[in-house]
Amino acid sequence: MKPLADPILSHLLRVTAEPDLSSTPYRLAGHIGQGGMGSIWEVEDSRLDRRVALKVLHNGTAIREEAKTAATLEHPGIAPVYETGLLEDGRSYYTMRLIRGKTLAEAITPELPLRERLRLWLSVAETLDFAHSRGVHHRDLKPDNILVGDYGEVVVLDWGIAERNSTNHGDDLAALARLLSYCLPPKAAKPLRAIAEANYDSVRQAIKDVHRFQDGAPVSTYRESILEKLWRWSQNNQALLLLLFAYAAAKLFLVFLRWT
Amino acid sequence: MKKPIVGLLAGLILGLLDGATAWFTPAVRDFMASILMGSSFKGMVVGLLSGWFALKVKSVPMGVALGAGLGLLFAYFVAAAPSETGEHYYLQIMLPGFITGGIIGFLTQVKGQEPATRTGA
Repeated sequence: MKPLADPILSHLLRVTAEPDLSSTPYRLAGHIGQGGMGSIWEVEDSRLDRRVALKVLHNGTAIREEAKTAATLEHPGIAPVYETGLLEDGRSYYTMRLIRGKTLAEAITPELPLRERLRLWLSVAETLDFAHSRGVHHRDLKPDNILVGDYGEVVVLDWGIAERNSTNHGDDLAALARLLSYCLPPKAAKPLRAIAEANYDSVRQAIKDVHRFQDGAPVSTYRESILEKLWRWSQNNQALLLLLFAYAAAKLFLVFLRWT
Repeated sequence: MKKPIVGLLAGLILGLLDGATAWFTPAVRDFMASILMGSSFKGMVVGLLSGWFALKVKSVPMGVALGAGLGLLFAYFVAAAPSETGEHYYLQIMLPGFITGGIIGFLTQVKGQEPATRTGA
């Protein structure tokens, strides 16, 4: 028997993976991504004439749990779930808001300014802080699971292995620290690197330290030398230093006038 | 501490320090007491007005500009007043007064208690 050529085989694989949407109000519009547990498709919702994202999983229980977890977290950093259902082929699905953009891994480019890098990280951290406050532990935080939308919105995806009613957020905190290291430029300031290496008890504490750094205040996890304190003070008080310098220059000028 | 109080104290201290530099001008050394009083009073008035302005407007550049402007104005009044020696020291008084006013304006913007913001019901 003649083996199937690669293009034919890949076509067959794609067709069999495609969800059978005949019993749903959705029409297939494209493939978005493939994960270990399922696939995500862009579909057209004929009832509201809009595009949404549809996630299909073989495991019906898993997808209902994932949808339920995401649905309980109403936050701008989490894609809202629209509905769940069963396909003709027996697989389960749920639909959610379609976000056009790129992953954090694609968004972090060498020329991206520090302020924007920190904004992206803070958005993720605030989303996670919210999830933790609702007892949800993401457990799979990585740059590929974070989407940066075309309008700058940051959405944490893939709550598939999230744990509900959890109080142990250690994995998330470690992942968030790794994510900060990932977001920082190679020559990031020492206090920022200290935040990325610190063991915080909660996401809120890490967020507070990053805000302190942005406000020019000392961070709790980094002990500054006197020179660093002076440098930070001078950075925060440039206008005052300029005025003092101008005053000294004016006085010297007056002395010079009297002398001549 | 409220911003007008910050302005008052900053004006007093900077006014005294600025006035004290007159000691390096031998011609006016005999009138140090009146110079110190005038300079500190001028600084306090500038500080009070800058502090009041800082309650209304939150802007470092505008605070510095207003402080410098007030410093220049009040320094002009001081310089224009007839001195014991009969001479007028416009440049010697107005130039430092202008910059000192700017410093007072800066301090009233960055230091002191912010006015309470109104919140929605």
